[in-house]
Amino acid sequence: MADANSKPADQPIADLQALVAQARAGDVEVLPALRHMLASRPEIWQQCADLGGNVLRRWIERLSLEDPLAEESLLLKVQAMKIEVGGTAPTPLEGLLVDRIVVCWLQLQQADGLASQMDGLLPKTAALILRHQKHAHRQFLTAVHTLAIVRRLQPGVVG
Amino acid sequence: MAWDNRGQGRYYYKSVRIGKQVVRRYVGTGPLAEFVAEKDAEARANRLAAAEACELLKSYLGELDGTMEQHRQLIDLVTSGVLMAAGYHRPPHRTCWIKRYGRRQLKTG
Repeated sequence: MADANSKPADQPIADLQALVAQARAGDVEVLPALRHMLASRPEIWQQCADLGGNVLRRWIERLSLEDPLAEESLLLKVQAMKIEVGGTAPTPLEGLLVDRIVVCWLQLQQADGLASQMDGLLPKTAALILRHQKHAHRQFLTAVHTLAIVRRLQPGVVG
Repeated sequence: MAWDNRGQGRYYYKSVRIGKQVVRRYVGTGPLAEFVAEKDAEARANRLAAAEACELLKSYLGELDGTMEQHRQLIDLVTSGVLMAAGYHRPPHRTCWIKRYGRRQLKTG
């Protein structure tokens, strides 16, 4: 994400990447700066939420196949799921992770749908669908696992 | 698969792979060869259509992969940032988060 062609809009993310990389390398001196950045740069959270919203919208469009009724039902389902998983007052990080779970769940719905219609398909096509389903399943489980970790550790004010 | 025109005759041959070698086998001539050639052409067209359908499916399935991956990376980054800011760290080649300092060594994963 952070390369020489990064646009100014990506700057907060690039800064965050730099600090996280330093912290990963064991530099504990950057932790206060990291804390400050997460607490004082709402654009970081906004950018994540925007990207999540964009992915979500694209999945809903794709799964509803331009049927307004299906689109509306999916939207309602997604909203209900967000409340069910995230509760009524999720922290900003929990909110992002809930978005991720919902997006992965939509991907998994598509993959499961395709996998249930494999009769008569060539082995190569069937294998492709099964691989896609496995990948979607793994992504979904990872997203759920990450939320569980964050909830368990309760990282505090910034998250 | 091909027809060989020799003199006034038309002879149908099939290429068959045997191990690493491709061998050209004589099938025949006349109406029977015409019938076999037609069936072979049909089978070839079906194979091509199936391969094309597979490619289409692959690109359809992969359409949102880029955005999904970008989203995953961003979420990972922010999650790591928040957990590190809260004093946790993830040892190399491990998936669990451990409190860096303090009395409790809280592990996950």
